[in-house]
Amino acid sequence: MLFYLFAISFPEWRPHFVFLDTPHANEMMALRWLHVVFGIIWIGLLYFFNLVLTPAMKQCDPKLRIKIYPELMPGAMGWFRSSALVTVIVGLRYFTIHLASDARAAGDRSLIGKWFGWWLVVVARRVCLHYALQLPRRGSSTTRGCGSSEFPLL
Amino acid sequence: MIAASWLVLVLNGGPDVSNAHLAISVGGGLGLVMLLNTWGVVWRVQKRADTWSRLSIKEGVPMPPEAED
Repeated sequence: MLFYLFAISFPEWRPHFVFLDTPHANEMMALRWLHVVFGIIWIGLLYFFNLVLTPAMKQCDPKLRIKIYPELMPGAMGWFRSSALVTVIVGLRYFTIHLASDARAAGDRSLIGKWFGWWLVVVARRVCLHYALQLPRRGSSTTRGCGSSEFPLL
Repeated sequence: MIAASWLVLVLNGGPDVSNAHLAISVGGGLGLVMLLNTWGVVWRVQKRADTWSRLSIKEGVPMPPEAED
């Protein structure tokens, strides 16, 4: 109420929202917002798992743990996986816009494919190296790479 | 991670390449690896643990010893 009175008294204090000048700039802005919001959901859950949930579950009685997990994890993992997917898809679109802009400035559109291709080759090489280390051992529920890789539960 | 970041900068760096492009090359590479890890490693493990828990609750099947790891 008080804010409303202030807003009437001082028009320049009124909340206002304007879109940017071009559709392209607006798309970039929307992509940044989506990337950040879904990135927060993803990484927030990741650190909740690593810093809070896993240590707390280790303290619990195994019978209690078995009851809690099926109620808790489908929802948590659903949000975790989906937000990761949205973050990366939106980020890839943002990346390709920058690639296209650089290629246009350089006067050679084929550079988009070259740059993106090399980037993908480097990522694929890295995934192959990491994936072999992080798959569960035969007959084990844990990931072998968790202790030795970059981050647990990465 | 450092080696992959260095490699992508060496392969794609140059006078025609913007700072944003190179920064996203490094951060996006990390993000894509994390995404694949989420779907390919963490979720696979989670699905097994979830099946074991449900069987244990509904049908009294004991949890396998590897579930304690």
